[in-house]
Amino acid sequence: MAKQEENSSNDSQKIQRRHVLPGDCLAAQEEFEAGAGAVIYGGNVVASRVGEVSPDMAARTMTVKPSRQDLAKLPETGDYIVGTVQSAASSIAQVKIEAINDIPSSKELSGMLSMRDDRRRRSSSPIKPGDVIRAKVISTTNAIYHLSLDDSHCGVLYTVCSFCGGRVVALGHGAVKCAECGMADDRMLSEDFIQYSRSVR
Amino acid sequence: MGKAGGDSAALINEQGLRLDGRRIDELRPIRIEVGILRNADGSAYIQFGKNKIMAAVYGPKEVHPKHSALPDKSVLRCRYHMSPFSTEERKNPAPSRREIEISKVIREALEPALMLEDYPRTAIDVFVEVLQSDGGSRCAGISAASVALADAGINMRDLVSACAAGKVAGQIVMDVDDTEDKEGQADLPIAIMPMSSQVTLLQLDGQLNDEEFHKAFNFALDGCRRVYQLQREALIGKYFGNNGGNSDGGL
Amino acid sequence: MSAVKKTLVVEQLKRGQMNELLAKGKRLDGRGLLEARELKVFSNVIEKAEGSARVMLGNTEVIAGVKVSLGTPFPDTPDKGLLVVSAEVLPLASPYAEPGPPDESTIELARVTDRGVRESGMIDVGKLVLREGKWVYAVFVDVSILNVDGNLFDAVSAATVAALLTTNVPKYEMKEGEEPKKTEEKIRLPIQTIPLAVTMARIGDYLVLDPTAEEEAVMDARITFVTDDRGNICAGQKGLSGSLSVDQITLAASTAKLKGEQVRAIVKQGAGYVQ
Repeated sequence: MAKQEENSSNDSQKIQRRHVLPGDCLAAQEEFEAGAGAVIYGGNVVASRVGEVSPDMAARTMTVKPSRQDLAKLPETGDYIVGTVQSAASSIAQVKIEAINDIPSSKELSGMLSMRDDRRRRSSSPIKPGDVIRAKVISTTNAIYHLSLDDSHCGVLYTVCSFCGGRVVALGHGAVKCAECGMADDRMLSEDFIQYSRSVR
Repeated sequence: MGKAGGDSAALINEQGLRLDGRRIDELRPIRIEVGILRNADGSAYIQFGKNKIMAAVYGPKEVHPKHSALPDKSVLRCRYHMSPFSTEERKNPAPSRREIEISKVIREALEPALMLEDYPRTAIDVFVEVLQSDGGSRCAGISAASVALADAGINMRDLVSACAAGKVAGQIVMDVDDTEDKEGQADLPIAIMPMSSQVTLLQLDGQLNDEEFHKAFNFALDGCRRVYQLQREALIGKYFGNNGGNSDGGL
Repeated sequence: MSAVKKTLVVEQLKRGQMNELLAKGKRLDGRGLLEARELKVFSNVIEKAEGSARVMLGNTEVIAGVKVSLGTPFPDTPDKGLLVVSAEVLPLASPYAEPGPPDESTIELARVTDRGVRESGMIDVGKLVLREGKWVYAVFVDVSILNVDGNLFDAVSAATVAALLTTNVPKYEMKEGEEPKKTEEKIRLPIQTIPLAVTMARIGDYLVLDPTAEEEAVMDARITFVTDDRGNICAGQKGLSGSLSVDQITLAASTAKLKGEQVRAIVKQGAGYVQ
């Protein structure tokens, strides 16, 4: 242990302890705020997960960085999810979330995807049930995950012809054409799909 | 039944030692391992005397059926189950009344420590499987489940540690085993949140006078604190140690 | 299996990748088509049980325990002991396993394992009789699945057999006109042969040995054969809605015989069994 710590008070020794378990006291409530991975309990800031303490002296906040991939994490605003479309109407769809920020998720959470009808008027949905899409989380109010495709990374990652089930190729950003039956269909494609689609051709 | 010939005096000998050689304030040998199951989000194995128990946590995850979800917090569900081969006589695998009650008290012992409000509209499942039982399995199960919850990264205010005390052959003892439970006079299992000294489980089965109750309660508290140290060591060993927590065949 | 993710688009996407690899004789985890995962067998893990074993097949993990008690024989077989194999996929084994009574897949799993043990004559049930028509040994093998990663059939079979090989049953003293009296003396089960299951999955045109959960999610059909150490096939089960060609069945049968020998050596060693 470093010399300057030996003389310091009991409290700041606690702060210096890097590895903590849930319940470990990090600081007195009067001195610090509880950041991510910490909670105010019994008048103290205590760790709420296994991890490494990271005190922000300027902001007077205690944060605990998780020691392994944060499995318990739920989608947060700004996250990107990959999911399967369960049902879709022209401007709204239900999506089963399969990955959060490209980390697979077995939580089976669903998200509500709203699509603003700003590209053009349309009669059918630009995504279809069964499609795999990437979307951005724009709100988590009331623990309902509101999703949006308004980002070039977002959109359909995988789809098949909704007419014959065949393989499709991109026709620009907003449509696909079936390689087998030739039918064209609306799809709001992600950049990744378009890239892959071109490389196939 | 009748292993000690029904003579309860034989449960503690003249030297003050119990049937398995323990002193009255001694725990059985305990081993805890973290992260032993691949599929679970968090898991732990505890060997507590002859108890061999696995605990696994899945979640937070979508709730089925959906209407049982809560808008402001996660639903904690617990299942305590004994394997058919865990007991002297084969146990029917269907859940018994005893297992259903224990599942409930385990859930209520863990819930105060969990920040369920961080996971609205989800469920957290805790499965406690008793592979071999030896008295005090609910306490060992709670201690393992709490470690598994920490392993799953669920936000917690504290760990939960559990231990029982009891009255055997007229004396108050720490950590009652199977024979002592069957032939003793009282069993007092408790669980605490050790950092804040909050009691989250208390059951009493048997007669104790005022003085005996206080002594037993303090024995149980002391036992919980010792279990807590072992829970800490297991988590620290897994997360910050060099051994990475390997568990090859070590049942 | 109930405990395996069903049709999921991501899994279906993997199917394409899997088929490309299979055409080259490879699998997602790097194994060859007829290559099994590492099998580990540990015995006597539950002291309270009369016999027990813990088996790991890759990431699939199961534990089997044997309980033996006194029973009454079935009226149609008064001269035979009782032997029952049951299985349960514990809810801690997979995010897709549900608590509750075993579903049809789990019952199938237990019954195929049971048939392998029974039909091979692994245990000489004729010797499990204490008094004909009245008292027999009842041998219960319960297998708990702790972690699901495919091919539960072979893992459950290996655990069941290893647990039975390590089983010691109490000897009973029989006196005319009295109930059997349990003695401290233990005797081994009358073992006659060692039957083991070998399972293959058909994915498209290919048969693969010892499928993982990932492979099971896209497999079309499954075929299990149980072989004994005398070169007999003593149980079989085709599973799932796909079909298998005659040639594929033949390949599965010969593979079961060949690979069964290797599995047998590991199980015998893990159970510390010497004839």
